[in-house]
Amino acid sequence: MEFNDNKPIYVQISDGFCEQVLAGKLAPGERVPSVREWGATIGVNPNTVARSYDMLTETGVIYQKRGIGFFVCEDAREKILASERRRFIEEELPATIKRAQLLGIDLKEYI
Amino acid sequence: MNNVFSAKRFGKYFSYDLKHCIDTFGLSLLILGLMPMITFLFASIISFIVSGDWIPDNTVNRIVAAVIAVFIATIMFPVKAYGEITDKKAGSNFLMVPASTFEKWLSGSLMTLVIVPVALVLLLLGVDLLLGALLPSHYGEALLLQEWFRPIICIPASLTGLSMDVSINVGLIFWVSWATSVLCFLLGAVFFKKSKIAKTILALMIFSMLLSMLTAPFANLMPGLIESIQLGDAERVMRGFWTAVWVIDGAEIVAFLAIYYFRLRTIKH
Amino acid sequence: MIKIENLGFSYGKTPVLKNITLNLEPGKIYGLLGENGVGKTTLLTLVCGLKKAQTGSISCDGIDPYSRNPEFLSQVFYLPDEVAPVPSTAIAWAKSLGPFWPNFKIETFSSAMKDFEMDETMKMHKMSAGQLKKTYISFALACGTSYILMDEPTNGLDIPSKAQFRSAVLKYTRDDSTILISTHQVKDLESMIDPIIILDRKDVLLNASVEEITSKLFFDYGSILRQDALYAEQLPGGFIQVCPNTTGEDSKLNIEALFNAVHNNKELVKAIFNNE
Repeated sequence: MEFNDNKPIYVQISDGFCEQVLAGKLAPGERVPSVREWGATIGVNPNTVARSYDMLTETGVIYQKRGIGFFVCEDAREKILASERRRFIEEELPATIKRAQLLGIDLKEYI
Repeated sequence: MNNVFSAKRFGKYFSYDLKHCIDTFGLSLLILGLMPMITFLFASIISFIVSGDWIPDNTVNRIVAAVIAVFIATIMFPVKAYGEITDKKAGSNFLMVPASTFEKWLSGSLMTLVIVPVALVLLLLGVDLLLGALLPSHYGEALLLQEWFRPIICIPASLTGLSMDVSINVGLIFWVSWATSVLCFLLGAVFFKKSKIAKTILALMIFSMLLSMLTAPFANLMPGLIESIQLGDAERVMRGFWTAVWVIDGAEIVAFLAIYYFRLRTIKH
Repeated sequence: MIKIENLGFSYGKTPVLKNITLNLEPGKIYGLLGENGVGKTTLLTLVCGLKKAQTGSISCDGIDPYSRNPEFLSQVFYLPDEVAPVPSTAIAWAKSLGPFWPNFKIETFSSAMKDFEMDETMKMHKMSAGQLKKTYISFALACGTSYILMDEPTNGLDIPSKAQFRSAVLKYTRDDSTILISTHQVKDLESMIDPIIILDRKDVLLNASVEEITSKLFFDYGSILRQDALYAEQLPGGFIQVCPNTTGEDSKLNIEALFNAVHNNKELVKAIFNNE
């Protein structure tokens, strides 16, 4: 796996998982590879993968069943959509508006 | 498990070493063992071309072939089988195999002093037996089938005029001379990095030059010594002489083996 | 655990290592970085017992490697930079040599060879340098030792093989192994190594986990040059700059930039990382 984005790798791994969930490729309740397994698949140190799993667990995308493994949360899709929407409204949208103003574009013509 | 010697681990190492020696020297050993046959065929072909008949006498041929085979084995085996120890790449492989230095030393010593000479002799005699049985009139009678060809040769008193029979342990003599020579080349193989055989031969030459320089002053004593030996004393002198030879050769073999161990223990990469 | 204390070694009169102190813990994949000639290979061979420490000491779970104790040897695998061919097929060689290591599994060897797209029945003398390396790597992984020491393992491997290497190491090694990989081909191993050790001739310049490095240093990929940059390099999209992390923000570690930053600011980096 190539990590060309400038975000920390553990963030890129989490983002990758979230995309898969949104796209429906990872279903709620489905088992997610173990830290070691996923590390071996993408060629990344388990420490880094563990960090991304921690982040995904904290944001409620995956949960861990002790001794069994990691699974996608039932409401993972909703949680991701909610946080992505929030990000769009709080970050991307203001940035787009600011840029449109900078270029003298009237956004109302495009909606 | 003992860290110096474990029978199970040694067994594993010895069979690994055996495979390794077969991989590196097996084919050469086979060819050397077949030398009497090869030279006989070669000589026969030449003879047929020149005179249209078998060679009249193959005796010298087969003895020379066997001697040359042993000579080549002495020089070639250590370098082929154990020369890689000094190699940058392969040397660390050898050192890192999980066996004790003692086990590695014992295995190498057994291979060099027992397995290889026995295998070579068996091959040479086997080939000789085969050809002797098939073509006795052209190749000659098989050595094994001849009465006098025994590990211990007995010379009856009637032939020598001495008061008793003399038995000569030819087998032991052969083994000791193999051991002292092959160990020289083994040491050469594990000490020198390049041109191992040439350097060993050079070292041997220098050593024998030094030795003859050291013993030259004593050479003056020899004629006087011989004169003073009465016939009756001859046996005692002979026995004394041979004992000294055994002691010196024995010490040589022990010393070489000790140096071999020392080298394995301290070689670094 | 490998404990290295005040290790020193010279080749004749030339000192190569001086006062090197390091602890290598189990369960970690250490990347050993350093300029050419700095002593990476020397360090590895000393830890294996192939050389004798001239000053200082090395202890692997209490054992001195130079004793060449079979108990120690059976827990180590050393993969040198250049490997020697053996007059045998790969699988026959693995089968004859493997049993000396108690955790060796021939199935792992075959599986790793398959991952590397190698034919295990091939004669080793007929292999190219890269194929031979892959055979040895497969064998190293199959031994399942507590210590795995690799010197420039990706040297001689083509690009697809490098990725296969990363996966294979992560897939086949034990959770509690201590793995030490020395390399100057940093890009090959970038995401795999953690912690990172940067070695200089007389010193260990850095020995820290990725998390620790990114918490103390910030990697800026923007286009504005910063005053506090320890190192800055122009890239197609902007700059890569290594700066002290004042905001606590996470960034993506760039090992090459880190390497240069550490070399250009040896004292400062030591201060940053030794202030706990």
